[in-house]
Amino acid sequence: MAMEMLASKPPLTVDRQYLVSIYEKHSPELYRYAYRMLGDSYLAEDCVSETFSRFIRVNRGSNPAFANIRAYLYRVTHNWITDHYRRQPLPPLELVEDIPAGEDHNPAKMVSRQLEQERVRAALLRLQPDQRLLIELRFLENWSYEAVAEALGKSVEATRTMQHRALSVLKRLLVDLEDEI
Amino acid sequence: MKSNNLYDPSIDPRVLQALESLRDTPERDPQLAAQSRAKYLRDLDAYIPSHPAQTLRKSGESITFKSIKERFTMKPFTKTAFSIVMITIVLFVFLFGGVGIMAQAAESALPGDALYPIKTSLEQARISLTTDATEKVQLHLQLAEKRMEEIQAVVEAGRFGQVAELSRQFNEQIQLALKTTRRLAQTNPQGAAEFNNLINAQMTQFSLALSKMLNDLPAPIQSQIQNAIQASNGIGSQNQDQNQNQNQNQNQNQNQNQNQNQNQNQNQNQNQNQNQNQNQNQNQNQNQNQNQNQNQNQNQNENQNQNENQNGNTNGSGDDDSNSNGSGDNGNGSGGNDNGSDVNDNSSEGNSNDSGDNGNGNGSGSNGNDDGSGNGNDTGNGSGNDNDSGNGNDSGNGNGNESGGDSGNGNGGGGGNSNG
Repeated sequence: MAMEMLASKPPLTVDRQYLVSIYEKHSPELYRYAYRMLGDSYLAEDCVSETFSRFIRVNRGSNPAFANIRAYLYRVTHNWITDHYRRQPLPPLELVEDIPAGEDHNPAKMVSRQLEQERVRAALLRLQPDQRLLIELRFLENWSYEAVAEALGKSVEATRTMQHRALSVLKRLLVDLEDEI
Repeated sequence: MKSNNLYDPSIDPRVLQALESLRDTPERDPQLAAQSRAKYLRDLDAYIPSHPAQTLRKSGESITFKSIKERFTMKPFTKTAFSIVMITIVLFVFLFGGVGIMAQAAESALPGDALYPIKTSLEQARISLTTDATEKVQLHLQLAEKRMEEIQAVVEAGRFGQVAELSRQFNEQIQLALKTTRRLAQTNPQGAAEFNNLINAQMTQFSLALSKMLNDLPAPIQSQIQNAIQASNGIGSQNQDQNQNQNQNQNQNQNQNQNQNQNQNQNQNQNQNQNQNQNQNQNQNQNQNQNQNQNQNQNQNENQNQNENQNGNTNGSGDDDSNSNGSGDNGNGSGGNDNGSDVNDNSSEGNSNDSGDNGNGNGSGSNGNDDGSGNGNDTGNGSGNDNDSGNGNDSGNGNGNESGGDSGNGNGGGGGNSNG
């Protein structure tokens, strides 16, 4: 009888354990990812939290059906961020002028760093959402072409082309604009 | 970044540099992170059927109602008579069995779960239904132990906010147990001394467990728990004064045991089993106390062994207790007696029966203790097996052992029937 009870239990606990392990594994990197685009720890935490609760709802508490959980989670986080910025006006791009000159001075350096981050974020938000996801995954998360292609649901070749286009848009937004000023 | 060959040289380095400014992120706030982790676990609980007992209950009910309905359709006359019987049965099931089932389902509920209020109100009901001081103390001790288990479970689930309230409730139960013990001391000083020891053991266990957990917790909750530990230590020291006065009684009892029990080799075996179980719990204080208690139980068994049939009767009601309690120390203890007398009825004669009786009685006694300190059904099974091996030395105890295991699992009624 003792054996029966033991035998009937594991599937449930294993299931839960697995879902918990997914959280432990991906929550830190998703948080960093969200923070980079949101620049606010509370917002980023909300975003991660919402991502995972969507993840559970989709799976209805069972084992996840899709193959690439990581790509799925990034996609959900990405969509949350896109929605978040859709609800408010895009941050302005022309913050570059205000960068203080004294780069060596510590507080000033921090301020200038923050301004630079806001500028890059503003530029990224002006990309197509898929272009943005690609740039983020490739250059901030260091994913391979193959992994990004899978996350985007495109071929590797199409991903290369898309990256090329996205980078040239970014260059216009970040570098050329700066040169004009 | 330059090290991985991701980027072809045609990319403007100024774009890469700009992107690079986003890469570093500040440290994640551990408290916020813990909160979202706890939320995730709550979401998981909401979607995963975490209480297998609930689903069991549903399927069980539907089967029994269906089969009863089939019987109904046989004769129209007996229908009404049968329905009266049915109503009575249903009432009984709701009053006694129903409570047991619900209690089992709610047993694993934690603060914040839907079933938790049911659990606590059932506990309240049990307390107010109990009039006997001895049982009341035992009940309070059980509840304190449950609170302790809940604290552990809550910490594992990351719901740190509940810890302070639970430890307050633990202290409350201990206080109530102490209060009732003091009342008991006027009529039964010996029993009160036992309980004082038990209470002390539980306090020690509690503060041990808490200080072990302390490191895993966020800082603000750590201080709350330290308060709880201090509070429990406070109670413990009050309690020790009383013990010193009453310990002498216990020693006298032990002497009597040795005089009377010269023939019983089985006792020694079973003591070894108990020690093994309790080592896993890491509570040295408690071990000592429990041993003393069990010795006293053995005395009672010997006195009653001459009337084997009476044992069977009285223990039958003891079995009921163990069903409704599930994890009750007393319930299991008396369940053990039941098994012992069953063995005698069934198998063999003469002297070997007497020792068989004692053996089983003790064995199930240790079930009771293990259940109390363990986590519900699974540990009940574990200790049931231990008893098997302990009693395996003597023939004629085979039946008794099996039912000992069963009663540990809350199925005492079933085990009792198969033997009788």
